Amino acid sequence: MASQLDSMACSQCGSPLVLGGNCSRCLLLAESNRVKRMIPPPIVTTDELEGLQKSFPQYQLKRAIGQGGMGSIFQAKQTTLDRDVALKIIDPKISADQTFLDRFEREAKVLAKLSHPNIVAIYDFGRTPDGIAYLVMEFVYGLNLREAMSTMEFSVAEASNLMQSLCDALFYAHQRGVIHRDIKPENILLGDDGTLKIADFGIAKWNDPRSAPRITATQQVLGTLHYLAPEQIESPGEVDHRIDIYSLGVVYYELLTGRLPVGNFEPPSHLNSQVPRELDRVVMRALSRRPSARYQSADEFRSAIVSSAEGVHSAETNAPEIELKPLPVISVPIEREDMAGFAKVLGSLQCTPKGVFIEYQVRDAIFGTIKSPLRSIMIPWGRITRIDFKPGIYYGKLALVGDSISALQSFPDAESGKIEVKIKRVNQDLAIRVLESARTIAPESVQPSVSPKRAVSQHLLLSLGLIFLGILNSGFLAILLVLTASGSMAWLPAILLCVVFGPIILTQFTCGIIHAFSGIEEVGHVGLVASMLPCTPCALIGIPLGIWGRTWLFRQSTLEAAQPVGFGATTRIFLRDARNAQLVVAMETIGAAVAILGIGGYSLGLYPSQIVYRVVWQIENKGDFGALQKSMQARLSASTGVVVASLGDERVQVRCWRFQESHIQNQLQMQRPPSVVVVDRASGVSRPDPVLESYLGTRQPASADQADGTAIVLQSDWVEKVQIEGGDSIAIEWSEAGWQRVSQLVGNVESTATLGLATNRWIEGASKISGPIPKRMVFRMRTDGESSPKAVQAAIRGPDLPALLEAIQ
Amino acid sequence: MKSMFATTHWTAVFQAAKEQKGAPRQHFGLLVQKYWGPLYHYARKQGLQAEDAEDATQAFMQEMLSGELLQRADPTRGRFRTFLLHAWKQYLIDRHRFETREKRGGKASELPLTESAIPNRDERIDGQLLVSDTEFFTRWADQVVENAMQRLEEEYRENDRHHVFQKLREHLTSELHGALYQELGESLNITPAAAKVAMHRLKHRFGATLRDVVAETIDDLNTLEEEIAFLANAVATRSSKESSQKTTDSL
Repeated sequence: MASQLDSMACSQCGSPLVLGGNCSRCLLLAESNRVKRMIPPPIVTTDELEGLQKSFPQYQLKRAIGQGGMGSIFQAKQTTLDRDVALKIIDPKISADQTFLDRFEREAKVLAKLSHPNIVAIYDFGRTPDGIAYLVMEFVYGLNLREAMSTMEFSVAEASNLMQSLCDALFYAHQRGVIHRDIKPENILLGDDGTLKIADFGIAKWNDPRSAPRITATQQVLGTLHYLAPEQIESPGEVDHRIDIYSLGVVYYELLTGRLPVGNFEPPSHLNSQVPRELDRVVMRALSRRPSARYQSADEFRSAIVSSAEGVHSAETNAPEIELKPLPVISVPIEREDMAGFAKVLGSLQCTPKGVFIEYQVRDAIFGTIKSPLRSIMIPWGRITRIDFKPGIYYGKLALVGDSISALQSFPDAESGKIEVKIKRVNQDLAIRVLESARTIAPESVQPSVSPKRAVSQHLLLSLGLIFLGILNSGFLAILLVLTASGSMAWLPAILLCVVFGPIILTQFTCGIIHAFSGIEEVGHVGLVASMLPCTPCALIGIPLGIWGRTWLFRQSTLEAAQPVGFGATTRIFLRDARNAQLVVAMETIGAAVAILGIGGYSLGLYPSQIVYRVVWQIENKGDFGALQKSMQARLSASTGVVVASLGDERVQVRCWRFQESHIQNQLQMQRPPSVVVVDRASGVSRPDPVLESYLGTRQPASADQADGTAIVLQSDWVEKVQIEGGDSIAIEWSEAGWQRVSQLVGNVESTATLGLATNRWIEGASKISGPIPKRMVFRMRTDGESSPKAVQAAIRGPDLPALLEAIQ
Repeated sequence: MKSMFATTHWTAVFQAAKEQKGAPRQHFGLLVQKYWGPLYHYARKQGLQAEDAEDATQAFMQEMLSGELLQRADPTRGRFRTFLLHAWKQYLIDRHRFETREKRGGKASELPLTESAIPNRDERIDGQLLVSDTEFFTRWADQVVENAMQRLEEEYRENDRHHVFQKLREHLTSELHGALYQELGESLNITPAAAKVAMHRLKHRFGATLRDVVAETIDDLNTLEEEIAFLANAVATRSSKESSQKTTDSL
């Protein structure tokens, strides 16, 4: 035997060959170097196997071939027909349940009717006398796709062919009302005679269809979660055949790239250069989060694959794979106190079709000085599990919960995947609109907590409070009147007191009632202020004056005669001398009048205020800053008492009266030109695209110190690269997604179109285009031959430029 | 080879064989039988003539089955190969002692009962019995691959695919490419795509079968990959040494 071993040498390594001409050295080396570890064979002891064998006399069990969530699968020989079958033995723990057995029986009958060359046929099913539920299926002599993928490489054409057969099979089953529910590589079998079959149709459903897919600790089962459609995990009770299309999309993606489409995944062509771009659209559409955005049938999916393989742009594939809804992009200012009250975070939050975009800056809580550069986070919808907003009287609370801590972690003070920010009352409308847009994009993540019911109860609480205070004060008034009537109080002061208190009571009452019925917030505020009269600045002046007056009078009167002593003595002294009483009352009246004036002034906004505008970019030329100030001053010349001043290099302050604020803001604001417009030259119409704008607009360069750099790396989904060329032009290279969207946008324009990039002062504006859009476009910059990073920043940050700056052009 | 493809680690088989005769002992015997080759080779290396070595191996097998050796052996050594080698060494020493005692008329009991008593002068001079151990393990690795191949062949035969196995086995280590699939497909009368699947299936089945075979010789499945790495290492060190030793072997 030894000589037989030494007889030949391996052609690759020169070591001797073992029996039959294989080199043990090469084989073992290959096995020990296997990157992907093999799933260890299911361990079934001889005893167990023999035990099972007794239950199945008509089959001869050969070997265990797999272990799934439902039980074990064996290769067996059906002795009567002398053919190999796959025998699936359901785990006794599962089959002990009677409802399971009923479902098992019902479903198996349906499945047995499926007859398709790409579907594993069901031969038999039932229960053995000792109660083991089993299923007998066609045995496919070959590999499952998971095993195949560990060693085999699939070309794009092979993968597409595979997919077409799978789509065929799925379409066949879907037409008969059978959903697979668990498409994954383990269930796709490649026969060594070139066949391809899907196994385990509908079996996932045999567990309770209303429950979420069973998650066990076994890695195998856990791994399959990646193949489930989002809605299958979120609401397993209400899914349709489109979940299979999603799962198939995942398999396709994995075949093409070797990876799973997890998180914010890239189109396949980015990972595998062999994949044509047309195919990207097909795969990405199958992988849409929303079922309505996917292919609606497996047949549609199949023909999309066919036409993309042929390079044909059929009308079908040109259909927008990502729904393009002109969503108004609204951002809402957010703030958050942070770090033990020493710092606060100011920023804005907006919902984009891709996710939630947050820009923020850390500032000193007291002085407002900037403590961090402007930062931004993008949290894709896939990572957001919940977004919800609770309105409040002064501040609303917006909570954002992510499914992993990674995306939200960079936000200051984020607590394990959750951030909570405050939204000022004035901005709560915006917040609700932001939430509404979020609801249209990702309905599953928005909590329906902004219910009108809650808002009503809040209204009523305020109204009732006011009315209650009014009643309380009326009681006080009544006591005064009783005192007067009984003669224990002089009529004059009593009437005067009524005159002072009367309007307050009336105001509260009236405000409370109006607020209750109309819900007008301002009325409620006036009522509140009236209730708090003693606390107003006027009271602060009036009360000390009164006290001082009383003391003075008391001193005078003590000189004259013996004074009454005991409780209420002072009052009696006042009341004895009518002149004194009149004096005091007069003083109190003055105090009250000042108080009323104060309230009136506050309500009408008759007090100084200021508005501070932040200039996003620094103006290097001081002259520019002066010009900016002058232009603002000119705009505001109509309103009196308004002063424009600069606060440092990046802020402009407008001092005015409170009531002028909104007017000034209106004056300074103008319709902001969109950053990206599509101009149809023929008709001369410019059409802003807010979606496009939102993508291009809210990005910033990787670092500010790239002053001389020629390339700025963007995190934008739309723009791959922004490059400054030769100092006076800026080239934009679209990313795949961006390019597709822009193409669609321009595709709608008849005749030659012009794509403009940011109509701000830094960018010349337009690049002429017709036909297919080039992936890279060059725009000219107005920088007087000097490349300025600010200009680039301004260009790509278009919408963030304050309207103010654009106004002075 | 009508094993049920059941994977049970060898210590359990050993324990069963130790405690009861009949089927369990037969199972263990079968397991030892599979590694006849390395044992024989080791005996040859120790200087035994071909016939003697064969006799010794046969006798060793017999004793294993009769239970004499089983009772003495200690199975807590983890790996079947080290266990078997140890038992085998011990057996060879005993055998040698017995033979010399016969020759010298019963005076052999004075000889030291150490491994150095084995009449392999070269080894003793070098004082490197380890060399011999690696030798054994190299053979062992070969045997493992061979056993896996046999089992795989059996499986293919059972499934009426023996011709596929015959055709494809030589390509297990060759570089796979489109032209090869084309060629294989033509010779097997199937499409190249089917040939590709068949080839990868063989690859995959070999990996799985190899693991099955190796799993029989260890008592902790977590060390499976480790054991395979060990075997790969054992054969990897051979090629240079083998050529020089082959010449001595043929003498």
